Amino acid sequence: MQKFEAATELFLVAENCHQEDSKVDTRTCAQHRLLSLLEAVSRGDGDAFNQLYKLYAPMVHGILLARVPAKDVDDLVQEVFITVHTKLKSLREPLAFGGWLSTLARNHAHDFHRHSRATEEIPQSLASPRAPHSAIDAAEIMAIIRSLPDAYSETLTLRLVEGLTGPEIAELTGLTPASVRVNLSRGMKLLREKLRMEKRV
Amino acid sequence: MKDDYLWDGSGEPDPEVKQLEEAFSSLRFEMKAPPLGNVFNHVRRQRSVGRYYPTLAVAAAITIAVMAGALLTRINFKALPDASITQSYKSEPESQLIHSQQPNQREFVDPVAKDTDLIIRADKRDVQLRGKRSKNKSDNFVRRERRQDPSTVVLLEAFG
Repeated sequence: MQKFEAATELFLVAENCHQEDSKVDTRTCAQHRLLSLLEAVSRGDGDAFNQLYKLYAPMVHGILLARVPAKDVDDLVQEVFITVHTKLKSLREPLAFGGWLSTLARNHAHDFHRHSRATEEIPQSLASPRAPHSAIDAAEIMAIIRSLPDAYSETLTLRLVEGLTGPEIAELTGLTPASVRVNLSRGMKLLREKLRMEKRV
Repeated sequence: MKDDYLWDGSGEPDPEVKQLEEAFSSLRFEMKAPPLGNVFNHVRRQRSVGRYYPTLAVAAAITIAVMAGALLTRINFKALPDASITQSYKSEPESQLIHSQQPNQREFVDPVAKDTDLIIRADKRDVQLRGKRSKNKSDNFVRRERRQDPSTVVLLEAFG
């Protein structure tokens, strides 16, 4: 518990989070909430773990979806959180939880590719009768997004699929807002180019 | 600025981004599985029980060993009738009677005799007077024999 005690200053600051006239910024309050959650989870509180799961599962889902076929993502999300439960004590800096969890999800995706046979995702036009009316096939575009550099594909998936905003992505993954903004902008530019090329073909 | 919508969803929506968001809605994360926290609570309970399995196994083994030892000891005692009789004498309250082979005689442990190998044989009359020997010694008529050799009379006392 010493690592949590190290953040005592943050706790003291965050005592003002609930006050309406609080001058404490929302980022500090969010960090305080995260520390409280992690402390409760490390004590074995199942409800706290559920809250942590609800908070971070979309991010983990997005990171995995950027690397793994959609049908396998749900199982991997569960596996990632089981690993979180077992390895949380190895986390040295609680405030780096987002980055740690992102790395964990990426490692699970790598392990998945290492141990599984090569598969090809079925286009939605074959899987669903509703798809032919859709101008864009989600599975095909997802394949294009996956072909982009990792930093772009991950950020774009979190934004376009999971519906997270740029600040939320920065908050959850531990990246700086500037990096997320650059990744989104450049990634979207690359995606547009590739989609245009696809349409021409 | 056009990138604002891509950044935080504010401003005028970018039609292409909007179209992509709609197309990807089917892939979005949904809370389908039961909350993992409940599962972990269950696992934690199981682990807390499982933590004591080795201790329980050792305790069970010791209990079984003790019971088996006690059973074997009891069987051995049953195989030695004399020892059993001797033990029963020693454990009985003093002057408690036990039927001997002869119908008119009974055996009991002499409370006065310090040597437990000595068995005192007494007549029915003497038995009735047990415990009163100190008051009326003339009524006591006891005959002591060595248990190892019943034919040998160790002591014959006749008071009065």
